[in-house]
Amino acid sequence: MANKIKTNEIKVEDIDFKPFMNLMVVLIPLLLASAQFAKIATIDINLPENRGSSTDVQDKKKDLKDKQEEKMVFTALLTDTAMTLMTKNAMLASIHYNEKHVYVSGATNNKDTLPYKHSVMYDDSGNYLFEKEYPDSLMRSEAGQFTTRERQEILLGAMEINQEDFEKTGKAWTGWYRFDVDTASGLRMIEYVTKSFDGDRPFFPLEEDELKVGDKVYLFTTRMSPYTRTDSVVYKVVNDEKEPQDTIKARRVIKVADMDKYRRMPVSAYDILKHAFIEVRTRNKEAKDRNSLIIASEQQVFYDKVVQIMDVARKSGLVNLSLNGLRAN
Amino acid sequence: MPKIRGRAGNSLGEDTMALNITSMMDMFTIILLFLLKSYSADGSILTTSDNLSLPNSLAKDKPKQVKLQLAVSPDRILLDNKELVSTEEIRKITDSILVTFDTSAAEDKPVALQMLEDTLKMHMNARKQLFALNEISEKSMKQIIIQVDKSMHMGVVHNIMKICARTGFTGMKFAVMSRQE
Repeated sequence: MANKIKTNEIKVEDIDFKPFMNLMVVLIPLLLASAQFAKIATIDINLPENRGSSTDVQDKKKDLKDKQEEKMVFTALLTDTAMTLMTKNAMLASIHYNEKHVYVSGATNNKDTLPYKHSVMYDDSGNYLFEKEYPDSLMRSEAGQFTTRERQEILLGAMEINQEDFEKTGKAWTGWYRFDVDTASGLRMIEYVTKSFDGDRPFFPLEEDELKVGDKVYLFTTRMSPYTRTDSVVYKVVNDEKEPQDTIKARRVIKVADMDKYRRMPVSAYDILKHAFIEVRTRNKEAKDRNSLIIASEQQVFYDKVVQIMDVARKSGLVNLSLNGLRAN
Repeated sequence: MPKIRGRAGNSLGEDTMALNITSMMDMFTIILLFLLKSYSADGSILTTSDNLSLPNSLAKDKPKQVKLQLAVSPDRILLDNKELVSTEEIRKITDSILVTFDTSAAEDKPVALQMLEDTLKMHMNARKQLFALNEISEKSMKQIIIQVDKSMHMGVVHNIMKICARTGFTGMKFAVMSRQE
């Protein structure tokens, strides 16, 4: 038998890209749709005015000037446990609140809401302990251990105050909320229900017997939770600046028809604040600074809490914001 | 069973087909354009420093121009990503120190405050020269973007605002993470 060199012909085949391409075609739109691009925005903040830091004579001159210019000088005083609203002519009672922090873990995406204990951070005389760390043990929950940087938002639950002496009762404040489904988007809507300011108890949530079929009520549109708020302030550009045209649109008016849609639940301090912001603006329509708010806060107040309050103010039409400090004396 | 044969005599199953990548290229072009557009709209202008998480907000105003960036992280303060002073030093500054700062003796002036003010003044002087040459407007001359970590206390924010105002940066914009409603 003749020797034959046995040649193994190696047939090189192109890789079949088709299944891979199919996978890519499905994957890319899926990833693009689910991706959330972090968007950085900016908030314009005005300078703190010199009010209070100058001499008494200068203060008086400034007050006189404000009076002549028909300004309302709307100010929100913010401490770690309460917010107080005041204008040049009036001071409303404080809105006391308790604080809960929502954390979302960066590593596991776990979410949990933990109460923030102010008492831990203050000494017996009520001074804030700047050098003290908030204990890690208090930021541990069933979902895991969180870090301060993972704080997503701060929830403020309003605390009830007594109608007679305006003192805290120690209980959570409950008010009426309306539950419905938005026909356009199919989203569940939860709206805070109020009526116009009552002289004796201005921003107080409605009592159980204060809501009946046929009543005219204001609704503050919120979606999904009382703490996330949407509304529709209409802006118009005047002299290169956005000016809210009709702040009343930040709330809507309806007549109560079906009591089944109304439920009582703990009220968010943000909702009370928004009600108060809009009402004060409506009552000071003539004021030249009707779009302005001064937020004066104590040193130890968290910056992100102030940003959330600024959000509520902006959504209520108070777009010119100033930050100022509350002096200890 | 008779086999169906092609013109060249091979069975149909052995025909090789080149992959048509035209549609893939179309798709990638669209994705590329989409991504480029979304990045140029917001992403590249502001850079956040490490160890700094901005607060969430419903604000939607986008930063339009690259301005001076002052970042306040829990442990240090950076100007245009250059470390300047420690945050704790700035927190300790009281109103009375700020009021008497210009008139007090050099040894009484806090070093951190002096350093921050000097650096900001240097930037301000450079901007004033640009303004004199009509390169920038008066409004953008005074603008500064301030990034503050969400866990900071307002005492630090107030001090930073006062220092910026003293050095002429009165158009303050605070950077936040825009979140959906």
